[in-house]
Amino acid sequence: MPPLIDENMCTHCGACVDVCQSDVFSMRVEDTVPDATYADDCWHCGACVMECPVQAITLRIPLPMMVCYK
Amino acid sequence: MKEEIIQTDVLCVGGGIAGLMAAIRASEVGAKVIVADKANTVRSGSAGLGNDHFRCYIPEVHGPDMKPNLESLVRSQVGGPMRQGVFLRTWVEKSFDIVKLWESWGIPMRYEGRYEFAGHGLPGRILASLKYAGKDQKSVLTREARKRGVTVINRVMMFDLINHNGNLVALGIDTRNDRLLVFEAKSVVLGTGLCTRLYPSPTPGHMFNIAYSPNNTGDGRAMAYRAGAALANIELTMRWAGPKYFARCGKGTWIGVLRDPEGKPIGPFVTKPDRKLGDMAADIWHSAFEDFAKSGKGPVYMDCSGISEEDYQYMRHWLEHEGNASFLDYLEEEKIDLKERPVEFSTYEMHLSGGVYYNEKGETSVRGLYAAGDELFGGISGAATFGWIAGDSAGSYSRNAALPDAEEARSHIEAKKQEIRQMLGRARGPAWKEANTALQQIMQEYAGPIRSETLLNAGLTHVRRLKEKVRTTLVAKDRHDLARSLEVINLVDLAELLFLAALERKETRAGHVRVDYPFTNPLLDKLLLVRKGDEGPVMEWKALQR
Ligand SMILES: Cc1cc2nc3c(=O)[nH]c(=O)nc-3n(C[C@H](O)[C@H](O)[C@H](O)COP(=O)(O)OP(=O)(O)OC[C@H]3O[C@@H](n4cnc5c(N)ncnc54)[C@H](O)[C@@H]3O)c2cc1C
Repeated sequence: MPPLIDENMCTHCGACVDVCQSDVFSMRVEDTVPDATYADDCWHCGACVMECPVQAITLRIPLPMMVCYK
Repeated sequence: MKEEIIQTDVLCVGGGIAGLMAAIRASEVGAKVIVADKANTVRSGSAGLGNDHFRCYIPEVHGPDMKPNLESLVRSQVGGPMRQGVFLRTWVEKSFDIVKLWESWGIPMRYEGRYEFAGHGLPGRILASLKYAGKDQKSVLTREARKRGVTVINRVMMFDLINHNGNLVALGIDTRNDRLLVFEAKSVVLGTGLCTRLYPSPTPGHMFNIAYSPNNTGDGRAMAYRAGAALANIELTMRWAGPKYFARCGKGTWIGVLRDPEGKPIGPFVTKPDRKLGDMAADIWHSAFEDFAKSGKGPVYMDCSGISEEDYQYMRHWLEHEGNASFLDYLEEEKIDLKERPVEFSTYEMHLSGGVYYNEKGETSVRGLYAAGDELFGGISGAATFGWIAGDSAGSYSRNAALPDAEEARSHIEAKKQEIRQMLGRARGPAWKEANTALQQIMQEYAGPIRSETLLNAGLTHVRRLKEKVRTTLVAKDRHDLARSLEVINLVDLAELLFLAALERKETRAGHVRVDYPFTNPLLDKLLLVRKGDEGPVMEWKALQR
């Protein structure tokens, strides 16, 4: 769910796997697109978005986190 | 299970702000230092995405008298009222040195060339929060630690500390590979941050949607307790506030006015967006959002309308450094324009404000064991300042201390290995999240916003039953799960202590609402210490010296 990796842009560098503080990602097979294995543990902090060298990651904020405005 | 024995002078448990500062300093005073972090020190912990307020006293800005700064700290949310006077004075005195250090390492501590103080401000009072651009602070601190020869081991969850006749042996598991790390350390600095995930998040089903790092689960507190160190005021809790449902710290960075639905400011401090002050209403009136909701007069909005374009850009700049970049991205995507749209604010989950007792030298009550930062809540400046001090103390202590021998603690280590093998090997049973949810449910109902003797006694019974289940039935399907399971074991241990301490503190104070003792008793203006005795937890009141 939350972090979405664009498979066409991803260079399989593993930066997201490296930095995610919740250990959301894993790269089960070397040199492939990382898998958001533990997506439920995402803090939506955006570290993966920031660290991705090719901007291949976006966060999808789940509906229950919707900001309520007037 | 592969076992690796690692020797070091100083082991920093947790590479957050406090842990990295401790490592840097300990290494400067000549110690061999290892930092073991659950995640990756570059982006881990509550400060991993940045912060923008650093409490400090700068004589050239505040004048020669540090008293007003000290007074504002005593009253502040970063734990002022329940600290020893000497601790607070040390903090204020030392804070500017740390600012200068950070600046010399390349963390931008100035705004447009000057020291800029803003946010968390009361009209007519001094401003004590320095604005700084902390987005990349942790890569800077990690680099500075490495430069000084510190070894950083990422993806190691430390989960136990054995005090064998005064010798400290610390255990950690590799969160990704089959490896148990056994540290023989002359001294240990705990810096694992806050204790979150004891109480439910503001959004059902989204356990990790909380204001502080959800990966800080009080492991340092649980380890300290098992090693015989005293915990202080573990029953006191705090709650942060911010945009409803998108739980994230950072309210002090907002430039707006908290208003009721009719547009009336809820507090007396500001009537229009004020760059210097923010709106202190929620810092001071902690239950404001709930009070409004309960009385049917809510919701309460953070209203930035009327903000100048310049101030708006200023706020965005700081929110980005405040670890709120993903929030800003979301607003953009949803086309929510803060200049036009007041945003609902609410209070978030409860978490512990008490923790490992440490003094102005970073010493805990166990020799060779130090702690800093949110092990007892203190924000960024507290973590940086006392991390540095604890590193200095630990490094110096290690000079004349002997290396412990893990073999002496062998039976304890084997018992832990056995527990781990069982968790990984069980065919059936609850996973960590199920246990964590059960725990949060008990905490909220029996030691939550309303506490009383009968509720606490009943809750204690439930927690003890849950503890037994957790110890004997948890199933971990892989290493990630194993780390989470060990977190839950720590959380349940702390929960039991919280219940006992909450029963003992027969008054209402700071997130500890005893409906059967509805007022704050000045005679209990004390630290309630809990430590491990031969027959279970022992409690002791310690006076506060102002
Ligand atoms: C979005 C946000 C904004 C904030 N803004 C401000 C601000 O502007 N000013 C301010 O004063 N405060 C602010 N805070 C609070 C501040 O971030 C914390 O008080 C501060 O980070 C505490 O530092 P610490 O080193 O004690 O803990 P942390 O920085 O949280 O670090 C804890 C470290 O311990 C590691 N760890 C945890 N458990 C284990 C374990 N079992 N084994 C190994 N490692 C472990 C973690 O991975 C982490 O690296 C903010 C918090 C958030 C979330």
